[in-house]
Amino acid sequence: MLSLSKEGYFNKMNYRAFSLAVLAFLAACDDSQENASESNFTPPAEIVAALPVVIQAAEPAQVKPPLTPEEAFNAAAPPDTVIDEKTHFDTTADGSVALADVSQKASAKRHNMVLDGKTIYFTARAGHLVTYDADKKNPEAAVFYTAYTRDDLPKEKRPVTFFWNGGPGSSSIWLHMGSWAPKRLKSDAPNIPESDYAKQPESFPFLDNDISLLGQSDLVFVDPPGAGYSAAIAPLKNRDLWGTDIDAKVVADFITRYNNVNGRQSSPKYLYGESYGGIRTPIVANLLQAAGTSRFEPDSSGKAPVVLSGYILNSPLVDYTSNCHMRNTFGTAAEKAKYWSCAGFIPSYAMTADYFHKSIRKNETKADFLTAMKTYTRDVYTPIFDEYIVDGYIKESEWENFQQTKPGKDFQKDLSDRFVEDQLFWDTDRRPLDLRPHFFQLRYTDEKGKNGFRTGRFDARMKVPLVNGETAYAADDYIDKAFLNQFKTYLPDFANYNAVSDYQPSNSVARGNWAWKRASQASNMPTSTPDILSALTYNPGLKLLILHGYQDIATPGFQTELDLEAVGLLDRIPVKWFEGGHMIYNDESSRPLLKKTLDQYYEGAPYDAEAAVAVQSMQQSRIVSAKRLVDAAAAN
Amino acid sequence: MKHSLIAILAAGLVLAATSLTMAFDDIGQPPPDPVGTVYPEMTPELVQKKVEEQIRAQFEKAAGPSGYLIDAQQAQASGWGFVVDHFAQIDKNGDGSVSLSDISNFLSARTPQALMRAARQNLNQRSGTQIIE
Repeated sequence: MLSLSKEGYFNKMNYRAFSLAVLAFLAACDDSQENASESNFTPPAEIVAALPVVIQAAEPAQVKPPLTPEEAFNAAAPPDTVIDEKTHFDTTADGSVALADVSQKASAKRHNMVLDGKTIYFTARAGHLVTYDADKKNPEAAVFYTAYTRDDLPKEKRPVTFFWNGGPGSSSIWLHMGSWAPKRLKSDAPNIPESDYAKQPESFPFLDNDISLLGQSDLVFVDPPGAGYSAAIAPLKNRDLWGTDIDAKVVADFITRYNNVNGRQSSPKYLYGESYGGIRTPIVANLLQAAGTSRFEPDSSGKAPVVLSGYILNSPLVDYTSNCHMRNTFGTAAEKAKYWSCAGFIPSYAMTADYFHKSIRKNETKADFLTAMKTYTRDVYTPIFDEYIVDGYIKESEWENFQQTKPGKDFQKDLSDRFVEDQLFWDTDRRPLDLRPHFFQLRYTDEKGKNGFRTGRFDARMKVPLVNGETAYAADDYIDKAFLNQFKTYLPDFANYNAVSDYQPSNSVARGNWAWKRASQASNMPTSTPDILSALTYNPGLKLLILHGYQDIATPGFQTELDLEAVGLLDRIPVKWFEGGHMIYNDESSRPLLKKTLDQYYEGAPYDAEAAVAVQSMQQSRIVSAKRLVDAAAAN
Repeated sequence: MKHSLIAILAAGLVLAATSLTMAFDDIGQPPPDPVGTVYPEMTPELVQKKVEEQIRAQFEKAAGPSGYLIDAQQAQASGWGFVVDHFAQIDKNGDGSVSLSDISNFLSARTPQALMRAARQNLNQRSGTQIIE
C-alpha cells in the first residue's frame, strides 16, 4: 500500500497516473544521485519494481564512444601557465593598487588525483579579478582567489562553491589548507603533542585530501580586500572596503565577476563561509538573489542561468547582539555591568567537560547527551537566569537568598556537575549568572588533576601547559605557523603562482578598523538573520546547511540554534553537530561524517516545503503510532 | 600585532598577556554602542519587517523619489534583477509596470513561513479526503 504521505507527495506533483509518477521519480534521480535529504522520499515497492524497464526504454542508442574523462579534460582545460606576479598588493589600511598594475590573467596547473576510487582531472588556478560596482565602471578591488576546476565536466551540471573564512580580515587560508581542497594539512585536532608544548610546530603532514569536495563541486577560495593578496583599487583604500555591508558587496561582486569571466552563468552555485562568515555569507547570498541575472553577461551555451543554489555556514556567528561574550566583555561600562545570558554556550561547555571525562554522561551517545544538555539549559538554567536577571540587572538580595536555599544549592551543583568541577571556576557567588567562555577556558587541569593547562576557545579540547602561569602560545594559535609556512610554497608548486607580496593570512588591522554598523541596524553588533530570511524569500528553494563543532566555545552551536529559533528559521535550516572545535575539519574523526553530510547536501534537490512537511508529518505519525502501541500495551 | 592590547584593556581582566592573544581566525569585536542604543528583541515579525524595509528601499531606488510604479528597465537599471527575472509573474495584469504592493504580495507568498503554512494546508486537505479508516 502507498502510505498516506507518499500518496500526498505524488498528488502535489499532479501526477495522478501511476506511470507518470514513475517518470517523476526517475527525473528526480537524474538530477541527484540520491533523492533530497529534506524529503527522505523512498519510492514505493511497485515503482522500484518498474524502474529497470523504464531505464532501458529511456536510454538512447549510443553512436560513438564518448571521450574518456582524461581526453575530455585535456581538450577543455587551460594549458599550464606560470604567473610571476610583480605587482605589490598592499594590505595595510591605507593600501591600494592601481588598476593599470593589476593583471587579471590566472595561472594554471593541471593535476589528477584519486577520489572515491576514481581518477579525476582538475586545474589549479590562482590570480586576481577586478570587482566592479553595478554600473561596471567603478572598480572596487583586486580580489585574489585560488580555484580548482574539473574542466571536463559540463558547466551547467557542475556546481561551483565559493569559500571564505571570517575574522573579519582573515584570508581563506584555514579552509583552503585544512578542509576541502585537493591537498590538506593534517593538524590532527585536538592533539597537541608534548614536543610542541614549547613552541608552535613549523609544519604538519601535507596530504592528498581523500575527502576533497572536488567530488561534488569546483572550488574557489576567496580572499577579501586586505587579506591574502587582495587590495582595494586606487583611489579607494583598503579601509574603505572594511565594513560589514561593503565587504559583503565586494565579495558578491567578485562572485558575479568570476562567473562571467569563467562562463559559469548556468552552473549550480554555492557559498561556504566560516565563523564571521555567518554574517558575511547570508548578506552575500541576499545581494546575489536581489541582483538576479541582471549582471550576468550573455552565455554562449544558451543554458538556463542559475543565480544561487545554497550556502553552508561552518561554525557561524549569525547575531552578535545575543552573544554574551561580545555583549558583556566588549560593551560600554554600562553594558559590562549587566548580565547577558550565556545559555547558548552551556551545551558546548558540557561537551568539553565530556571530552575531559568530567561529565555526567553515562551510556547515552554524544548526540543524545547534547540534546539533554540543550533541554537542561532551556528548562532549568534559563528560567532561573530570567528570574534573577531582569533587563540585564541582578536582583541582588533575591539571588543571595536563593543561593542559601536547597534549590539554589542544587542549581549550583547541577552546573558544576555538568561542566566544571574545579572550584577555581566558581570564584564568585555570581558565576552561575556569568558563564562567559574566558572564565571557562582557563580552568582545566589534566586528567590527573595536577598539571594546569590553558585550553583553547575555538577548540576547547586543545590545551597547552601553564608554566609559571604562562603558556608558550595560545592553544588557538597552534596551527598558525605551519599553515602559513605550507602556503608559501604551495601556491608556486601547486598552482604555478609566484608573488612578490607577502600573503596576509589574517589582518588584525582590518578587524580593528572594521565599520561594523550596518545601514539597516542601530547597533554596532551585526546580525544576518534578516538577510537569511530575505534570500529565502527571493529563492525558496535555497539549500542551507549549518555545521558546528561540539567543543567550539567561541561561536557555540546552541547559540546559533537559539538565534534561528528566535526569528522562526530553525525549522528551515538544518544544524548538524560534529566532534570538534571551530575548524571541525581539522579533527580526523569527524572528516568522514562531514564528507557524508556534504555529499548528501550537494546531491539533495532544492528545498521543497511540501516535501519537508510530508517528512515532518511522517515522523510525527510514526511517533503517534509508537505512542498508540505503548498505550495499547499499557491498556492490555 | 596579535597581542591585542586594546582587547585586554577593554576586557579589564587581570590575565597574563598570552591568554587573550588573537588566533589568526579570531572573531573581531565591534566597538561599544553609544549609550542608549536600543536592541530590539529578535522575533519573526522583526526580521520580516526588516525584509519589507529592504524591499521598499530597493523599490524606491528603482522608482525614484516620487515613483509609484516601475517597469522592467527601471528594475534592471537599479540592479534589482530579481524583479526583472520574475516580472511576468509579478505583473499580474500584464501592463508592463508593477507597484511596491505587487512586489510585496508576490514575495510575501514565498516566505518560508508562508510556504510551510500552504504546504501543511495542502497536506491536510489531501489527507482529509484520503484517510480511509
